[in-house]
Amino acid sequence: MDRFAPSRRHFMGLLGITAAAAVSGLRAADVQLPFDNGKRQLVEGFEGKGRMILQRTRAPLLETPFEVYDNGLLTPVDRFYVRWHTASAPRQIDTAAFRLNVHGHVERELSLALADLRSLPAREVTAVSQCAGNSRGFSDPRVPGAQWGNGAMGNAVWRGVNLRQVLDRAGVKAGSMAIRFRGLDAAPPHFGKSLGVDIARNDDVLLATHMNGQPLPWDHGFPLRLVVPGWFATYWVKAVSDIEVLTTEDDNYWMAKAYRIPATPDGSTTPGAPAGATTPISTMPPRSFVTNVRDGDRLRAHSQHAIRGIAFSGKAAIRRVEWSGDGNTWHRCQIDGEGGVYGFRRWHTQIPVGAPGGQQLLVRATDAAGNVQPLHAGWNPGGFMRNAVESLNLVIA
Amino acid sequence: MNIRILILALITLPFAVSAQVTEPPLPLTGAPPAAAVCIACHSSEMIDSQPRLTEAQWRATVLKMKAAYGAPVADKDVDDIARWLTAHQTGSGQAAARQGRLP
Repeated sequence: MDRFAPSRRHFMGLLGITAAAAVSGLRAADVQLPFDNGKRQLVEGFEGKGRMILQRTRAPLLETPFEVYDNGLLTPVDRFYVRWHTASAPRQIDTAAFRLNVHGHVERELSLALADLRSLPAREVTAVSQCAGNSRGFSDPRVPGAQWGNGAMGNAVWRGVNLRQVLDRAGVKAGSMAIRFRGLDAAPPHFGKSLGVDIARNDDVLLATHMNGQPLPWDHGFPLRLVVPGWFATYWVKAVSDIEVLTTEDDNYWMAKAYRIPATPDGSTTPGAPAGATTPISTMPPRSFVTNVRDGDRLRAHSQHAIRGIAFSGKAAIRRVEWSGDGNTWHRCQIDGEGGVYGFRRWHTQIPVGAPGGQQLLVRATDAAGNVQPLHAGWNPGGFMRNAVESLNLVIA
Repeated sequence: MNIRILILALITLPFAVSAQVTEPPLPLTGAPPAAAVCIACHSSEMIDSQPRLTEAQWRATVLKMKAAYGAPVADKDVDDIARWLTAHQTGSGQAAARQGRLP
């Protein structure tokens, strides 16, 4: 029998979802993402958001318009990108009845109410959440999936309890191999992601209740969201309600089949090559962007122009940001102090603008572990983990 | 309840009023009836925003929706849906990808 067996309950569920899809929002304008078939609607007020690029109405895929990244280091909640796989997460949650269950290879199973979690000490971490498929639309050759521009990323202050406190209450037994997190979006294939025990016990991994000082809204994972600083957002399970300690590798779809990259040093392969070994995607390699100048902008000839942007790496703190006009000679930019290890870092510099015509502007980031953005983008079948040097073509007049 | 009734309900429901954000309809002209299932779980932008995909890529996508997401697609309908998706993309005037396609 098919797993998608329609039932009255299912029917009502779908009606509920479609009714919710009518949540008000005004169409503002169209925007052209810089790749084929990249025309999208800009909408305002949809899902309670400010102006966003509408990638998909149901289940919501909303992209942050790029100018937002020039406004400040933190991405406002109402401009923060949204990515759901299925439309099955409940929009209304009975907070008194909600429980976070911890089970599997543990000394004591737990069933924690939100009040239990509130009684634990909370902490804050500033960290970038970036979709594994951010910038997929630039894949060459193109690959199927959500056709994001560069706006499936955001930086926020996340507040919550350290996951380790919860794991220690349950008592993770020796011989545990992975810890799996599941959320309330239970439509098949039930979403779940796993972390190794050492990763899950890191000080900075949170069960977050707030972002940027506000309670998590529905679309960012109310009432609890796993925050795994440095790791791609696929691990940041929203509306997390179930933690299971496993003694084997997690064989669920989202680990064993989806969100995998070639097991090569940079996660890339040759288009059309036979499928080789793959591994689950994990931490984010460095990226940097110019935020105050866009591709195709006009600059005044024979002048100095102030440029600024953002940089981040999930593997180590940002150590260096450089700009180049030709991809060969690189010049250091100044990096501002604020931002922390996991967040966006602001950088700025002055570039000389030459004679009328065209001028290229490239930026690249290097982190403290020596990871540096490659000049040319790698390719993989999922369109994951793009982090090539960004290149702008400027018009000098 | 029959899945076709469910899908019909989805297609014909007024998704929103006036100038609000609405789910765009999926034009099903020339589509095999089984193709309607595509928008049971997601809105049609997911189809219309894709780059030009080969029939083999569309077929792989349909099979993924069937195997992983439990979409009720009969084996006999997979090729029909993939063919229609490929033709739908061409018919909707989407510019041919300048970049190379997957072999």
